[in-house]
Amino acid sequence: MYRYLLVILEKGAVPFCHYSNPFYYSSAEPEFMPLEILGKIVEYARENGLFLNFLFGRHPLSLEYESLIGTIGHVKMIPVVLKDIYPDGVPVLEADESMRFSELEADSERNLVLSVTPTDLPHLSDMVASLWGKFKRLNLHLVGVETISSAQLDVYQSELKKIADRLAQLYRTGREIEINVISDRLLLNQMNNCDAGIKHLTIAPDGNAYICPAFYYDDEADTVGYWSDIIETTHANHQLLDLGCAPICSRCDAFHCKRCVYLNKKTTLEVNVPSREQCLASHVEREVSRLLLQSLRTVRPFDQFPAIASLTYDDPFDLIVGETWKREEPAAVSATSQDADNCLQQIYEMQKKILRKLELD
Amino acid sequence: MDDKAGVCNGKDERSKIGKVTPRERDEISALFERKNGLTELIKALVESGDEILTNSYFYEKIVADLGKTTTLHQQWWDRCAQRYQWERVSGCIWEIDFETCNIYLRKI
Repeated sequence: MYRYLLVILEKGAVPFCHYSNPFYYSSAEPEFMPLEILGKIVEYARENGLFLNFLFGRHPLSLEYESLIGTIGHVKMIPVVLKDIYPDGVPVLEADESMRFSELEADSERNLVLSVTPTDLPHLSDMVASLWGKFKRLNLHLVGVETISSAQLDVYQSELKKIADRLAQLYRTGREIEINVISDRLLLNQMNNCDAGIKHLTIAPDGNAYICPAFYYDDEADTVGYWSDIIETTHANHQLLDLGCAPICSRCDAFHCKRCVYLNKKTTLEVNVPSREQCLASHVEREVSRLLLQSLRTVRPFDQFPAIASLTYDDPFDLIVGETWKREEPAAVSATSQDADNCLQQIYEMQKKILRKLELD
Repeated sequence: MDDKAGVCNGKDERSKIGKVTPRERDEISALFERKNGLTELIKALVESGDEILTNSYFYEKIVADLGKTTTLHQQWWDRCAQRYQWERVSGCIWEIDFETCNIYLRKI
């Protein structure tokens, strides 16, 4: 059922998406996943053809762990401090480490993850500029997007436009570079969300499974069960994670959006309902993608991509509200015509009475 | 706005040593505001020569509230430092940035 598993190797694993992990900074001895549990997960994944994503903390693994995970296809999500030990890992950068970005060697084949908060946005294009030539794909995560203000959204849009301008220059010279929030939408014609709990599941160091790492770090009690007990079944209310059960998202064409079910639950208490802030940020990204594609209309292969339509809304919830109004319109029209009919009927009746009275007189 | 607590030593400038969850940030933020509010209230009453502080009922109430808030405030720092094992250096203090939830170590 699942395509891959996220395995948190230690409690202080690097946060690589829309969440933070306070244990990542802990100076305590690391709490690694017991080798026995890890061995069973690796064995299960091998037998069932599942891919594994290992989340590392600041501490390198012992040889026993390394040889075990080396027996299966996997991706390592690592903090920058481990980049020399695990050159095949995907380094996760934080905005407040930007002074250390220069330490990364040039590498046009590498994937990078960059976590920024709304307060870092005024420096976003500078941060990305210091990373040009050091990645093939950059996954940008706006941690705290649920608290973003409209002024910060404006800054986000202007910073993304600066990055898109540079991307356009690179695309014109034939370079193949991806920045998730700008370039993903160019290639998509349907939703391509995170799909946590549907395509993948997260296993914490104690063996408990979670929809994604964010649920684990937010509340350890929010487990969907012990991994081996639930991996071949569906967890409670799993259907609510599906796009078909998301009335707002299923009407949206910000196809690159993560549709983060953790943020949905955190902000609206429903896994299938996003907050307005998430939608606004995704539509800022979509608009920058639209303008980028427009500027590349004469450049191959971008001339083959379907154009991205200009929208009259920046939150798909407005679409639903608009449709509700439209649905009410025919009722209003018929009520009006009915009122007119009643009025004519009354006039007719009144005229009959007047005529009768005149006749009597 | 930042809030400060703890004991440490030897760092020239502030360095990031930890992070708390937004929920934990909200707890300390509320305690910080209450502590500041009560302190400001006492200051204002003393400066204005208001007789309210001579009323033992109000005096005891404000002192008890301030004492309880200060205790809860310190307990928060102790609990989080224990939970996340923040670096502790004498001569430095911990401080939190309420906007980012980051914890810093700063020389005093």
